[in-house]
Amino acid sequence: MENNQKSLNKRFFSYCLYPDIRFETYQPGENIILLLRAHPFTQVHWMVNSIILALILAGLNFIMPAFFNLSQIFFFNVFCVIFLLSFIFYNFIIWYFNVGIITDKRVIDIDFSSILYKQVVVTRLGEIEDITDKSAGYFESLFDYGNVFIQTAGTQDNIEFTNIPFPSQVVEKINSLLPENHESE
Amino acid sequence: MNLSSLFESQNIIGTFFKIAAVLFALIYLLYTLVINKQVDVMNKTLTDKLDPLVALVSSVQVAAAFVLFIIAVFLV
Repeated sequence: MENNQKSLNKRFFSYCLYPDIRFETYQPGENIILLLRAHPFTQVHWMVNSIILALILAGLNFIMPAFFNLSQIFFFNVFCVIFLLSFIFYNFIIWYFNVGIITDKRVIDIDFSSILYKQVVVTRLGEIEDITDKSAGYFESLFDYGNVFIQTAGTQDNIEFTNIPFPSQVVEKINSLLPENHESE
Repeated sequence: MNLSSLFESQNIIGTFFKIAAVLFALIYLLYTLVINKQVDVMNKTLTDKLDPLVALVSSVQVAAAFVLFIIAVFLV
């Protein structure tokens, strides 16, 4: 096992040091330093929506007996509960699988922006030209999350980690991994 | 006269509900099949300790969609 360092998880597994994971383009001998996901606070909106949907369903159950029979009401409730759970699961896997990975050799951005769209961007540390972190807003300052933008050389795709925890620490970590003769801001 | 018109209206509501139930259940079943396939792709892209649980939940979702379709066809 290449990662001998002890794993440390912060902010509900959205900031994981030395995680025990593997990814699609993993190379044997590569040390995985950091795994990043969107800050949990940015996921509150769909959790609130789920609660509201559950309350609406509960309220509809007082009205439906006037229009539908028992089997219809039963089906409607079963369908709505399963739909609600699917909604929660969908949002969870979108958050869970949208990750940024920093190794001792590369930076990888895995994006599943919708369930059917997958993009994996890989950049070697030596090809990083510029790193910018941005954290603007009340909640961003309160919970310390923001965006890290990594500009790469030439025609390669740039990498952006959005709404990640501790963006300045992430920039610091990447800078510490850059080759000695390669400096960025 | 009033009773028979009420009876007809209940039949219409019941018929529309049945059609809608079968249609939505079928669409949901197709959705869960796509999600299940994509979860497989996601698990291969990023392998973590939680992957078996995610795959299990996805499979349960497909099974639930299938049961829902059966309920829509035979019970509603």
